[in-house]
Amino acid sequence: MHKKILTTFTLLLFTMAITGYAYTRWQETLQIQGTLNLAKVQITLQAHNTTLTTTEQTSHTLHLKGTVNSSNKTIWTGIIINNTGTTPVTIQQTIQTNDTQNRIQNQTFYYGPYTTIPTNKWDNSPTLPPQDGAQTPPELPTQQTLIVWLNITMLTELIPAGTTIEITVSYTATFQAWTDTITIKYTITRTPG
Amino acid sequence: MKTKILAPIILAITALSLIGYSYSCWNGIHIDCYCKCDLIFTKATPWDNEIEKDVATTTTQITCDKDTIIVKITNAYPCYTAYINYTIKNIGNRPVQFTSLTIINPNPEALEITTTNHTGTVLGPCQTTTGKTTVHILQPAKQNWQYQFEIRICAKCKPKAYPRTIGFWKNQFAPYLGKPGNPQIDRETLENYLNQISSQSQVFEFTGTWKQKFQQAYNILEMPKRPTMLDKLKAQLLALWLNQVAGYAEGYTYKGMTAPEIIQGSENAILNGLTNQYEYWKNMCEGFNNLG
Repeated sequence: MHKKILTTFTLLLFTMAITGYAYTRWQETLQIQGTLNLAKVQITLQAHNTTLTTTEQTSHTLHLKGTVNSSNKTIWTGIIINNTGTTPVTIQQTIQTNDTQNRIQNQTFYYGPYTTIPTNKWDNSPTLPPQDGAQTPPELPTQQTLIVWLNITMLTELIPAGTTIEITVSYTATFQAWTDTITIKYTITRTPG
Repeated sequence: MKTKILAPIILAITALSLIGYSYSCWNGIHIDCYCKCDLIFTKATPWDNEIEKDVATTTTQITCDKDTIIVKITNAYPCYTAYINYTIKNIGNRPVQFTSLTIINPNPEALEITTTNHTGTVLGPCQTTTGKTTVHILQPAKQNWQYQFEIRICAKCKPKAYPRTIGFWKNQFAPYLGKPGNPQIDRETLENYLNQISSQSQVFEFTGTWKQKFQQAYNILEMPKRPTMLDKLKAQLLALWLNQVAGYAEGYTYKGMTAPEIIQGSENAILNGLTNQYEYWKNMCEGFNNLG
């Protein structure tokens, strides 16, 4: 009986001592915890519209193949670029070709940005290019689309039959230092006639 | 056998504690058993450097226990900078001193994190202090990625301050002047005290290197072998000034006067050569310095 009381008493004293010690050692840590989710710059090729043959297509590339002759020397290509990233982007077009003799002419028309694609600017356009096209691409907000109509005219009188010309058109979306690019590659052969 | 040994020891401890407590109560000494140290965040306001476009978002939330701010930054990108203004409040009844700051940033190549360093700051009960944390996204940050960081602000309960005597202050300066002793206050803090006194006092001015300043202070506290009443007054006044700038005088009064009031009276007497008041003010300074 005595032992039990003594044990309890000793424990009590010990606890009090520990409590006092704990107080003198009081220390608090305030915290600031942060989680950052980074944005994504991404554009995708949503659709395309052309008379050329599509040989390859992904969300970022399109390979087109076709022929031209003196009576059919203009190629129209329409594409829809969708900003599937989480930031607004600016679009820049660059054209590269293996033709060193300036036998290709081109003109680009931009429409948008759109949340819903207007058919008169796309597959129901009465004329090409559709009306009210801009010469420079507008800024493309996230989850919106841009319609691009590109006209390529080959100066067939200067191109010998059997010549194959490659043209690569790139659309680069930029936000700060981040970029994403869609590439359209044309392989066009000059046929007789 | 063990019981026989333990029982008298425990009884003796209990008896001694009770005697001490009864004595202090009988003499009107107040035992403050309710000591609480606690710090909380009371406010966390986010903002950022976006002016034209609102691309990224920063939100903050203070947790239920109020000792953590959860910061969530979404859709961040290089050059984006988020700021979090926060307020810390001491809700305890003891002063709390900030002791350290730790920034845990596993991705320094992608994130640059800075925050107000409160280390050394003393926060009295009910007082608040504000700070700012800055999170800057650097160029190498990866797209569509998640980063995390943590900032730890440590604080400890500051022991209750009380006025110290001339002897205490002499012993603080002495070791830095090559005399024996073990100082409790670091050199920079002591020098800072003397600088504060120089700028506020009309009687004392400490100049030169830190060692020269310490020697000047020590000489005043040490007093000449045959000190005049003015020497004694100046020694006690300097000790009181040191108590004042060190925060040891806070909350104390002597004969109804606070430390600044006694300092003002003493300096007034010295500056106006009121020799008949020297002893009175010396006693006032001495009485205050001996309150601890």
